[in-house]
Amino acid sequence: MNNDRTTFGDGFANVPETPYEDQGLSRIDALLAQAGAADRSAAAPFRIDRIASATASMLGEAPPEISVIAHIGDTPSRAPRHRTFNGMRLAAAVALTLSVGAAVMALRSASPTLNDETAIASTVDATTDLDALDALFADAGVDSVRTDAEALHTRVSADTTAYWGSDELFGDADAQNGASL
Amino acid sequence: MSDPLDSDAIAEVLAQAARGDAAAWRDIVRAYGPRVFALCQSRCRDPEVSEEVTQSVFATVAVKMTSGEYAERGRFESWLFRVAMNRVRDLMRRNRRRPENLADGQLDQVRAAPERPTNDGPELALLRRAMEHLSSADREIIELRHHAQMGFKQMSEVLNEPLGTLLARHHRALKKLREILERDMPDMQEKQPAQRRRAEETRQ
Repeated sequence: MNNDRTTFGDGFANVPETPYEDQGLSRIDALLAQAGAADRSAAAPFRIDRIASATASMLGEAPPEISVIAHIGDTPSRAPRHRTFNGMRLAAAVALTLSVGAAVMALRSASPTLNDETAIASTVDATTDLDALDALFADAGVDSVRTDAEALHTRVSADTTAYWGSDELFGDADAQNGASL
Repeated sequence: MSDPLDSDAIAEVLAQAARGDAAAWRDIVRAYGPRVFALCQSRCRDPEVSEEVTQSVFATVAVKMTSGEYAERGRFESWLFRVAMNRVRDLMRRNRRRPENLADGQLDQVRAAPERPTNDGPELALLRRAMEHLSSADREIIELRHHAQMGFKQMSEVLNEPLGTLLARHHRALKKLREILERDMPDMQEKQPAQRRRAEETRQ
């Protein structure tokens, strides 16, 4: 150990420690020596003995797993950090997300939704019926509107039954509506 | 701080400690502990953190010595302080990664507040503040030299730098510290030799 502060080390025995003719630098050098001494004296004997006691038990132990101090919020905790493991976890999470997304997309493209079916049916029927209503109000007089409306209702009911299939409940409702008109 | 171990004694004490001799190990920690502690204390100004870092350094040394990863060839001190320097670098990196959010004006309060109760005089306090302005590499040289009390040859082994480069950087770091201190401590200029003052007057 080289605690001799009068030399630069082996082979430099004749070189003074502070070869500064400039007294300003010599003073800085002396101040730094004071600062170093103050910091060494901050290592109180009880601290040094505590370090010696704590580390003596590690003599002859196998190398421990290297850990770093991880900070969660403001609370420091010693937690092992494995870069490889973290990378694998990230890759697995990305793969899982992609596979779930692909499965959902496939399901949605294979089966049309209830909204899709309703939109197709109502578009076909409504276009035909609206054309008929337009023609009715354009050509017919006011007196004949009632008769023509009943005829139109009958035809629409027939179309609806043909589209959705025969249903007694609908048939009764259609009859009552036709009579009330 | 206990008496330093000479180069002949250190080999024997290291061999005893490697065999699990707790008394020999305590001698090693007492001989080198304060110097390792000072290396950290200069950076963090917190004795608790310095003790924790010093303990981690000696824990690493204890495990590597007894597991045969270190063979004594007269370079124990260089090896020890290389481990210590790496721990201090880790500490500084960690502290940089954890910036604290401060409200407006809080930063000035933090700067104005004393870091810890200390017996430093005003000159030492200014010197420590001036050291904050050194580059990390220059500061390491200053601290290895003045806090860890290493010779320049050992420092060149620790830092893997040529001896001449270290001497030049040490000199440059001292000059930079002097410039900062002269700015903050005008009375220092009065203590400079007349030769330097004349040179400055000539330049002006």
